[in-house]
Amino acid sequence: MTSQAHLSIVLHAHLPFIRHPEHDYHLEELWFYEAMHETYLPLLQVLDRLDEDEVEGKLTLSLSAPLLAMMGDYLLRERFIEHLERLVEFSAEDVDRTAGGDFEEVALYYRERFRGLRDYFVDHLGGDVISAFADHAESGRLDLITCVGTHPILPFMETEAAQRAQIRVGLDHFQACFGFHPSGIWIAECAFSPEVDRLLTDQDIAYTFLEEVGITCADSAPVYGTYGPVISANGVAYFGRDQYAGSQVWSADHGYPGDHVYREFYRDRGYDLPLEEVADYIHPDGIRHDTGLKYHRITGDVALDDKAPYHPEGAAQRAKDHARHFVDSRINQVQVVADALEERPLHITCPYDAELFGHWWFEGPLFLEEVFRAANKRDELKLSSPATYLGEVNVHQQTTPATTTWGKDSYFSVWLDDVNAWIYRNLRNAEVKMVELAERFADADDTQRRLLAQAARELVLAQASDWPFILETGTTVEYAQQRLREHLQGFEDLAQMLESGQIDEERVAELEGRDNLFPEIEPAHWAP
Amino acid sequence: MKDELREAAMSRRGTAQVVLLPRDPEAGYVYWEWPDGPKHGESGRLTLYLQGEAQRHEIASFEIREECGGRFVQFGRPGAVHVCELQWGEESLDSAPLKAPRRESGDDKPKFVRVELSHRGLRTEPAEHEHAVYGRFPAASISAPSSRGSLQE
Repeated sequence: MTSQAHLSIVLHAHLPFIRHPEHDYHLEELWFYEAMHETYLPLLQVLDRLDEDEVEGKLTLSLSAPLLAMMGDYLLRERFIEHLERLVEFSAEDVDRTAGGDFEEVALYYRERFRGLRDYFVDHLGGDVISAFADHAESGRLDLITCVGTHPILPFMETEAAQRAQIRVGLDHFQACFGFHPSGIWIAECAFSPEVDRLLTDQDIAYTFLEEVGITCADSAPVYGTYGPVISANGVAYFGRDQYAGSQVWSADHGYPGDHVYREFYRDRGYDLPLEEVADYIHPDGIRHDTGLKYHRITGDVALDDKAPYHPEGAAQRAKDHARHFVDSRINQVQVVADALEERPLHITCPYDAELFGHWWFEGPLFLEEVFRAANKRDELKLSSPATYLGEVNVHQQTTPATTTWGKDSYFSVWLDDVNAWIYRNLRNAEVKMVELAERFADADDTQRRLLAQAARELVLAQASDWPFILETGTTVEYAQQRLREHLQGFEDLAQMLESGQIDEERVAELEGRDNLFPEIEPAHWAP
Repeated sequence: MKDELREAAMSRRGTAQVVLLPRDPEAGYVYWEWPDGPKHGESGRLTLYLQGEAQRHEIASFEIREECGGRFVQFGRPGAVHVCELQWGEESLDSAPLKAPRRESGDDKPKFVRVELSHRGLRTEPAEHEHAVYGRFPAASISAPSSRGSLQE
């Protein structure tokens, strides 16, 4: 009889800060609305149902500071409600439009779904998802952890002061939202080099996550592989991603989300309907975009035009089947490994981008829910968390993990390539300037402090890993370039004002109005 | 990105700098700033070295003519320390030493600690611990290490 293994599902929730008050309707702002109604609200509903049914198990959730800032932003909250209302109206119109046809079933499904999501967000949550996550943390369902600031590639930053400041930005905003210091952190893109370790210890961080290479290429070969954390010399626990569990969900070739009954992401009513029928639900200038109403299933290796109608019930059943397969696979995995490592309970770390569940893989939240329910019925496995594991298993190998990132090739190639390498000179020059300013204006008056704070906001927004990622993937390249330019220019303008003493009040107000996140930001964090 | 855009996006620090960043175990990216730039057809030189304990060994050298620029370079060896030198006129500057990422674990012997989780992070103390099956997970003994792959060893 082997001891019960711990399975930690870790969701990393992040979006770049995409608030655009300067436009009534902004295409990139839709990323936030889609994430809300496809991932975060459904995830909360899953957690609610698990609580109602008294299903045991924990989920670890890292919420990045920009995402929290958007979730707590009044303007975005109001705009999201308007967005939901439009979806309710659009889906109701589509029920009439599709009556008696192949898409009637799915149209009815969307109408009920959006009505339910609107009621849940507006009436049940009062528009406050942060408090809902806090409630689930309070009840013990969620282990909430933070993320490094605005999601920078920490090893590519030049100064310890600025690295530390980014970590503090994330911690401070998390504390402002939830009122406690998290014991864990998500390192953006799991981008780690050994120099990062000390920075985490300095902020009382107990654990974080790395790609498997970070563990298997540590200073000492890991005796438990990734079935347990390694502890650095500075006292941080590093949990390595389980590749087997990861690939079952992530793999484009054989991962669950590619099943033919699941919803097809790339067919959307925003493109399928005649312009006059969809005009009220796309950009006012007539620019088509995804609406969230997707009526086809993956079907198979066929052209988009040949996709078959989507059947929500069948897809939901498949998600449950996959969840039970996932749990069975983990138990089989544990049994094989436990023969070798029977001396202690094993830990399997399964980190995923939160938006995989719901946004990219529409049925993902149902899958997660069923993983909880299925695991609950099995004695061999419990849905745990890194903090729980560290509390129960006390002796671990001590070694320094290796330089790594998650993602392609497990190194930095996504964020340092021909198309994005140029940004690091600019980011590092601005970073060093910020450190100089923080030192020079250590005794800043109110006006100087205001400028320093906004300069810090512009800098951290420029440092987000999202921009080099977008440049690499080639999706919304102009937007990423524009954001980099705007934040670096904003930073330069503020630095010049500080150095010259000549304040352009209009420009400062413009930047403060647009990039209004992190009211608690502390420029002194950048002081060397 | 078009070259003119890329050039326009290059901010200057106003002092010489040469920076080496890790991409993967085999390659890195170096960028430089050559203060005041080349004059009268002058050229500078960028040289990548493998840094040994006593001396360093040249891996590659490139002529440069731009005030600001960047390029990818091949490391001499994964896991080894590398330095890039920028030379112009009579002057030269070294990058900060960079240890290239590695593809295999180090040789340190395993040691263990006892941990206690508190609201101030982890407290650790050395612990005696025997691991019966040490070596069951030979790190990086396959090209793409994985928990499943290791088990199949």
